[in-house]
Amino acid sequence: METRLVVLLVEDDPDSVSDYKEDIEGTIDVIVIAVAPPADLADLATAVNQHNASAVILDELLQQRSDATYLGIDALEYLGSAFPGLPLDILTNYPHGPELRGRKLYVDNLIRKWDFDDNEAFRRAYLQKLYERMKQYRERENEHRQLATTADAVTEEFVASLARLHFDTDSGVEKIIWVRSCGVKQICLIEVNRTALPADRVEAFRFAPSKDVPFPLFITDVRPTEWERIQNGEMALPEGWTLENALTFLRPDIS
Amino acid sequence: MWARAYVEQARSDWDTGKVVTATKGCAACHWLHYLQMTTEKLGKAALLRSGGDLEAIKTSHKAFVRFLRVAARSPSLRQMLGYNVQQLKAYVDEVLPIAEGIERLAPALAQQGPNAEYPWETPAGAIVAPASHNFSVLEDLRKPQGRKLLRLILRVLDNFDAIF
Repeated sequence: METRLVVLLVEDDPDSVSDYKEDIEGTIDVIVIAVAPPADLADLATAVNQHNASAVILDELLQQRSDATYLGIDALEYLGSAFPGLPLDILTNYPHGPELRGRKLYVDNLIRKWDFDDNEAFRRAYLQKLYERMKQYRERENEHRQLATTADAVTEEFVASLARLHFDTDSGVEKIIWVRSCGVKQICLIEVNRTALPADRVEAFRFAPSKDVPFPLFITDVRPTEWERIQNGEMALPEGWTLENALTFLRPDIS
Repeated sequence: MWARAYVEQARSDWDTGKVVTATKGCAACHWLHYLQMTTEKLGKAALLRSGGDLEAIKTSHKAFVRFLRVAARSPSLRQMLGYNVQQLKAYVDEVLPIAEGIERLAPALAQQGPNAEYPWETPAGAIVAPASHNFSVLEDLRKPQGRKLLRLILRVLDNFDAIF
């Protein structure tokens, strides 16, 4: 099984791809997988997932030989939000180009092509630093995966991490109640969400076990007023759910 | 099992909708009707697979949008699509308004207004048949967000057992 870390190279110029691949793989112990920029940014994110990339290097002007509807800086912002902590860098000959002006781009993420191509010391130093960033990112990712895959019963630590993810995902979620009466082989969550649709009964969706959450996961969104009715016993929970021994997680910024 | 039967019927609605769209001269309301029924049954199938009460679910018309609202928090859906949570949230946020528009095509939710099945009376007193109405959601479905929604519906239909 291949264990080397993967650099995803997003480049629309086939001639440049082989040069960069040779330079990078000749300097650090990684595999470079090159992809032509897909038309949609969501498909680029899918490529990051598919290849389990630990870093992405983007050309800035991606639209010259591809159907891409975005620039490298757009992709950097999108992927930065989708993959927090993933090393992302832009290669460009035009670091002061108008498309980059006014965009939040750290100098560390901007690599001048002529430095990379012609200055071996620069290239070596940059790639060594990138390799360290990749290893750190992969270690953090592996820790999270290990937490998921080694669990054979639901733990408070695991549900707490899931709750944090859900707070991050949906700003409407105010608190999450872990219904522990569901048992240790599945997770049942009542998520108090101020943007939930009104309902006259509590309906939970069950999601099958996955790589990240290796347990059946039940989620129901209820409005704050409905949560009050549930606590008062005026609104019934699904069969087998009780609030006895339930644990409440509060949104970190409102707790 | 009820959930399986609902998925089967949703799939049949989807396939019939495709036949309808390929039929020359067929009014758009018929495809929208099959699309609305597809999503309604798919949402109900998800609730049934989740252990919901059959009699209560039978009368619900809002299950699909409810599903979409929690979809980003579904690890199995994320795994199936190869998306992470932020990607799926962004995807769902884009398609949600169109899904709500499709849901409202059900006569029970249309509040005696435009729906894909029965004539209605406008506030000005005109009687309109769905067959001659220009549905705004049809335009939405032609946009990239609409195509994304259709793609998502198909993926959920095709991978129902892996997701729920």
